[in-house]
Amino acid sequence: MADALVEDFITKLKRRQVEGSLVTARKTALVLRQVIAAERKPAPYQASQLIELVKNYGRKLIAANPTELAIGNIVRRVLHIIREEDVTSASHSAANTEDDVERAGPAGGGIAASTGNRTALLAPALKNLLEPTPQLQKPGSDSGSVAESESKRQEKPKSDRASWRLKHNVIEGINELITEVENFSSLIAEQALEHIHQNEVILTMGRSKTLLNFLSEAKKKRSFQAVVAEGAPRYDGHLLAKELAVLGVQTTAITDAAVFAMMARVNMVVVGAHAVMANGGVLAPVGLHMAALAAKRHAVPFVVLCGLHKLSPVFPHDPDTLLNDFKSPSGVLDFGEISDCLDSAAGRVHTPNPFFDYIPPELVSLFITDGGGHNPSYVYRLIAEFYSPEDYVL
Amino acid sequence: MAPRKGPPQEVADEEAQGPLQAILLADSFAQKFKPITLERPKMLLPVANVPMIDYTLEWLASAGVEDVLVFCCAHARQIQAYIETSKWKKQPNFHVTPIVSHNSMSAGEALRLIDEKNLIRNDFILISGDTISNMSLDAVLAEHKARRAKDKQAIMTMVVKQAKPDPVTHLTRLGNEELLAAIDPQTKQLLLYDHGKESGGREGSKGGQYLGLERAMFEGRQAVQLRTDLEDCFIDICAPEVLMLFTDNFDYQHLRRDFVKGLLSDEIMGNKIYTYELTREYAARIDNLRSYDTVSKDVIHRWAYPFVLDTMFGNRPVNVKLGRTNIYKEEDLKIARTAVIGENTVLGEKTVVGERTIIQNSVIGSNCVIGANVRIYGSYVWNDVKIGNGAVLTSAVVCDNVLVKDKAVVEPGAVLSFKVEVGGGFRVPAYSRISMLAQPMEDDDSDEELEYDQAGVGGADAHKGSDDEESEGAAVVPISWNPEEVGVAGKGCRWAMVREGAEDDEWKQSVAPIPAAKLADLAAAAAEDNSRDENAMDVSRSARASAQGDEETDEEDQDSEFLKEVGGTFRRGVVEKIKQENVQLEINGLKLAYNKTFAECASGVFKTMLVMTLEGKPASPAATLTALKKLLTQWGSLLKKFLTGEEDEAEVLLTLEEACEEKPTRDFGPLFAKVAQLLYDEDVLSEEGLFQWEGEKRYADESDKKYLNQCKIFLTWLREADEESEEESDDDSPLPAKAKAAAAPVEHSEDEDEADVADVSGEKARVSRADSPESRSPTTSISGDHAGSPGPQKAKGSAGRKQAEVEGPSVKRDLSFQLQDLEDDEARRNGETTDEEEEEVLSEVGSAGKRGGALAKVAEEEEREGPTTLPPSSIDYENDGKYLKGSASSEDEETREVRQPIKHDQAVDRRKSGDSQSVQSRGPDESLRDA
Amino acid sequence: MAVRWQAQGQPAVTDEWLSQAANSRHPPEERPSVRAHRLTGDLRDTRETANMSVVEDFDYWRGKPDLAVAVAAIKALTAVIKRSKATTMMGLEIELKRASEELKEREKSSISLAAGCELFLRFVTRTSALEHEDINAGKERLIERGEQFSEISIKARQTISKVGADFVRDGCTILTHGVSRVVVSLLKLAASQGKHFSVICPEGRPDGKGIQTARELTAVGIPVTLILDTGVAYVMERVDMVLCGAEGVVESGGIINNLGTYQIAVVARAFNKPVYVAAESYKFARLYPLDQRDLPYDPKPVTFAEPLPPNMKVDNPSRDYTPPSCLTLLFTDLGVLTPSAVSDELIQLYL
Repeated sequence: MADALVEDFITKLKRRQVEGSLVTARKTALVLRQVIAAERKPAPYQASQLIELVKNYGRKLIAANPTELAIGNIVRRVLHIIREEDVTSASHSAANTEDDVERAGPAGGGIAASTGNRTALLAPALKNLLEPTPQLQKPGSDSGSVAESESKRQEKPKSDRASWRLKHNVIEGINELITEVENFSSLIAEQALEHIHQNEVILTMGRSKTLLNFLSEAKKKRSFQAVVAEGAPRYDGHLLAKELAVLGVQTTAITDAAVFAMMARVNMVVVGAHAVMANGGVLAPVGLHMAALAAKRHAVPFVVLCGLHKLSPVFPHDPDTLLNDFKSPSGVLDFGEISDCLDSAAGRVHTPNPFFDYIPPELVSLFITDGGGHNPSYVYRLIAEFYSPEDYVL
Repeated sequence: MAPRKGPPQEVADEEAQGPLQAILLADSFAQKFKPITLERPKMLLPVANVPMIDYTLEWLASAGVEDVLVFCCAHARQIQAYIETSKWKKQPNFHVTPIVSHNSMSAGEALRLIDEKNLIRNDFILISGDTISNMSLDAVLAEHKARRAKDKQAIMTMVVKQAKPDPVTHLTRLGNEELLAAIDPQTKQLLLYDHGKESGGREGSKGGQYLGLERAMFEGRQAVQLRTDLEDCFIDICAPEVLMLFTDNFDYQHLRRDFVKGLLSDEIMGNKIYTYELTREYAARIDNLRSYDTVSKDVIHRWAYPFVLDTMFGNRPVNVKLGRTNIYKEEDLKIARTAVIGENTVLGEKTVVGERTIIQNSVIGSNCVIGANVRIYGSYVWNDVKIGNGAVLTSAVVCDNVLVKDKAVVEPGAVLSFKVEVGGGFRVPAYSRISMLAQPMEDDDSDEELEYDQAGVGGADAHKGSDDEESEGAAVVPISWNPEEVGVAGKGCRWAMVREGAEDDEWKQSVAPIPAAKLADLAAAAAEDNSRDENAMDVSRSARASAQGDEETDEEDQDSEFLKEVGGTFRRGVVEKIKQENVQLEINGLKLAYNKTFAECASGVFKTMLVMTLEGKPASPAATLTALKKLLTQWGSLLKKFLTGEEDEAEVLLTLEEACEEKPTRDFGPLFAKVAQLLYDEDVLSEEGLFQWEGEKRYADESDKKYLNQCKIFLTWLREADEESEEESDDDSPLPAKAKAAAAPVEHSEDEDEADVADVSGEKARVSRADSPESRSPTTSISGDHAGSPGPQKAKGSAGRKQAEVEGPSVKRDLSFQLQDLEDDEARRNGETTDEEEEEVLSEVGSAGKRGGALAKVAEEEEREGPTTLPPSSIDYENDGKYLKGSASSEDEETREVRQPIKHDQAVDRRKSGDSQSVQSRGPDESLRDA
Repeated sequence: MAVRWQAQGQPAVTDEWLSQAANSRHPPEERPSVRAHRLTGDLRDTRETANMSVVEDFDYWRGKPDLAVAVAAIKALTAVIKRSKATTMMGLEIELKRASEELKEREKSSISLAAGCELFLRFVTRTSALEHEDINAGKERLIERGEQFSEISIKARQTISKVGADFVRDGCTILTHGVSRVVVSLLKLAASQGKHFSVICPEGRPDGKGIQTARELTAVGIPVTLILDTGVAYVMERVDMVLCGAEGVVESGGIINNLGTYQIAVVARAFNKPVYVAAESYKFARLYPLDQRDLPYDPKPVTFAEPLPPNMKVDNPSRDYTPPSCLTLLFTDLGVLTPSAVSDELIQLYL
């Protein structure tokens, strides 16, 4: 049952029928929840088993569409939840109460929770370099984690109740994750007023739901001008421009090429992102790197809106091919027009159609996430909060 | 519950259109990939390391198709096995059901079979397993359904893609002629589909410059688009009726050639085909090696996204890494540091590449071992291939397990089939095909019509082949290999060009890029065509002229059609002993349908009688007469019924005269008088009729009077029988048809020579010449008869020539000859219009094609005779044979021989496309006028 | 048997205890190395009978080819624990402090040495906090961990290679500097993954460390170009990334490395090329240099082709400080870190 579900999801991913990080993230979480729920291991079983389970499915899902980082993020988030649960249930049951409190807001009260857990989870850190770390027990395997070793230690005492409880809590945790993912955009929108001021000129490119919410939220209190670049080859900027106009925002639609020229008059650039890398770099729809550079040149703040589920512990090595998705050239050129330049004799025209740009962290001024605004250099902290270091490499 | 809550668009399409079905033909019913296809079905050949059929299935699956019927014929087992083991079996809500038939020779039969099984409930997608696309079916299905809802007759929607409007491009891309379609821009209805050879239309004509449009096409339309910028994607959305149609018309074989043409040509059923034009999405069919090359490149260039290698679709769970400039690398490769992997290249998993090797624009399969210093450009190397050091491959196809030894050179366009071994240092010549299986002896004609039977055979024995390892009959493995063919210690035997005598054709459909020279030629040719078209357009005169031209030719065609029909009906009547009344009824029906006069019915019937009498091969003239008498006594009354007055009766006699001059019934020449008398005796004819005829003949020139003279005695006898003055013949014919009829052919035969020089479209020239002998037959016969009296004959010849000088190029004479020869009374009426039509003929001066068209036309006349006066049967051919003996010219004979086997099919197709051939480039300007 | 002899001093350290430790701590495949390790341990113990100073001990370990300074230091300190007759954890700590001071005196300028000592002392204080009641238990724990530290460092090297190798792109050109075990093993790993890349090494006057690196790399078939230290800016335009080791990583997230690193980083930055640093986490040092003068100054001797006039001043500091702004990422055994993340780790260590 669960397998069929996963398979179905995987095929959809492969065929790019499920696209967009929000949808994907949500669906991934749902599928994983299903998987865990369907897990019918004879109790008492261990967190380690759940972790392996999730990891296995996780790898498959990630392989299905490597360019969609949200999948990996959610998988890691789930793993993190399991580990936390394991630790808390390992610590004597009295602790459960405040653990629940901790779990209540993995997004909000994150830092407290994570710091609490870091001690327990014993991530590889300088301070415990000399502590007995799993690396020494099982060299060469990252999967080996303290959480597991601990859980192993507690194999005896763990009762059916405990294991059932663990599973229950984990599912609870995932549900919260899902809700978090679902309404991140409203959380982001709430912060609009802090950033957009009266009579400002906001430049943006392309379209994302988050962006629209953000601007419309700002529109409620402030009147500002929006400059929308069309965002070739998707041209979803046109749509956004319409929507904004409907909202009563004074909107100017420009071509992507006009961004630089426009930038001089702009107070702030606000854009959506596809993913945020561990170094604070951003994967965003193609064309934004250019915009970011233009902003830098004119010292215009470049603000990126992104849900925390887009936060990936992966570092960008070779972002422009590895993490990029090359679409069909039809977006760039009309087949009919080019079809006579398509045979090798006449020499074919190369028409790469990359979907994303990688924007290095130094070009980004601010991330506005559902967890608040952050500096690119702070991203690694956020990551430390939401992911267990053991899971960075799946 | 989880999956339900997906984003709307995914759930939507499944729910919307119930179980959507597709028929996937996993057999191309052609053999353009021979000899490869002898060992593996085309559908399983890899395109960029993924079997073609996977692209198709994956696409269907992702497009929301839930039930796919895979029709396997050749190598059915391999395909079945593949599907069984593939992931397709495991897919939820996607069912693949193989349907196996070992004896289906064509798409038509396949569909008939499927219809029998009645597995198709509602609208379905008809597609061939070698089609690669990424289009979403929702839109087209919606359109289709909407149309169906309005009009049940809109039974098919054909998907087309816009490409560059340029025959050269078309050739370089897909290796076949450009498609020419007439489409109603409002309704998107397809009005004309012409795919050069592909659709059996314009014999071998390339480009769209000779084309006929029936006026019917324009009726009730504001505009009609003539488009040459479309590629047929061979993706059809069909209503279930389509299958029925196939079952009803058992002679439908080819989807386009027969079915589409059939539908477009018959107005009676009124079924309509519509088109759906792809804008952004991609779709193409791999029809031959050239398109194999092109489509592979398109896939590598990601036109088929998301069906590109790095999305891991299909069956192989190999993840592919995409590098810059479209370099796809699969897992664990061993590439030497000094090797250079150029752009647009795919490297299959576990492949080893040696030092200093250069690979560009190529696809390399899995587990290949490529030595050092190898050069591979634009080639397709499949799995487990070993290539020795210093070998060079250029635009070649190298199948599985091939061994190319050191320093061997494979020249452009070469095909090395499975397990072939090329000896060290050997040079495989360009465009050669080498296979482990010897080439079957009965080798095929370049003639497209033959492809079926051939394909059938190919398919059939190939199928046997899949049963026991070596396919027998067609392909036996020789014991010893010829070093000439594969070099020392090589294995495999060289195949002659798959399409006989088509060395010059080979380059068209090989993977090798078209040689610059050829391209230049093509371009030049195309340019010329265009310019010609243009000035044709410019010069082409008064709409009236051309319109009239249409009429004439229309009628002309209808006329011959009609004659055939009548003949057929009558013949059936005689053979099957049907009641006269019924036969009469039927003929009346035809008369109405074609809106003809009784006289024409009569002459039709009579002609048939004459033909039939001679079929009995009567020994002596006497016998002939008795035979005819028998017929007349039996059916004369029927004939009589159609004769309303003297004019009609005279008409009959004129028919007889004609008959005496035309080949099949020439034996009546000497018997004319007797026959006339016979008619009189059987009182089919009255004195009045005879006198009427005589009167008409009065002012005719000598040659025409020859039969009159024959009858003198008889007539005088009649006159004596009852005194009648002969003064009442008032009909004036300035220049009776027969004169020109006789004159023209004399010129006509000359045109041949001019044709040789002037004709640009080579094939056309060939075809028309092949046909011409028949068309020339009247000439020969006449001259034969007039051996005795040369004087007047000369006169006429010179007259004809004078005419020629006046009128300019001979082209027009052909045409005028056509028109008048076909319709006497027409010609008579047109005493004055002839100049007019000559004018409009002038307008097409210079289009050699026109001559071609005209000649082909002439050919048709003859063609039509063949199969239809008799139902297709051996008699027909014997007959021809017989008359060939009659007409001495020997080259006639052999041309005829070649044609015999195909005569029937051709005729069938021709009849479908005939009308479109008769009218030349008037079509376009007319359309312009209307548009 | 040496162990048994020693056991008189410390009854707790017995054969069965050792075996227990081995079993509990090490999965089977680890055993041989452990045994070997214990063997060296034995050696050391025998030497120890002629009880030598921590410095000599340190020099002994320093002599070992693939042992980092920090490792040597920690081993020396472990030896100290073994030798110490201290009866309280407090006493032990004081002893160790003194020892580490000695060591630092011995090699005044070495950052990683200092870092190593710091790390170990820190560990000692934490353990003493845990095991204050039983000195012997505490000593066992310390000794045991101390002896495994060399393994830790090797393991760290592997981890770094693994995380770092991903950044080596197929067909890229890497500029390195000086000699670093981590960098070399990282590059070797990348090469073994079938990636084709080439390396450019500045020779690294005066001690020619670059040449040494070049040798090691060419040995495994990686194409190397050797350039003069002055040629860096010239080649930079065709370089894809700069990768170097570090002697110490300071709290600011900057690094201290042998002379020339800074200028390379600056040039790289001018060309917008990424600068990656591979460094084990035990090289993180509690320093916050603001400029070059904050570094311990110890010039190295340098020879010149032609004799120089006596009054000419020659200066050849052994190392320079590269500020975090010039660095892109650090590959450490704690994972890939942004410069700013380094201080975090250090803070956590000492909070």
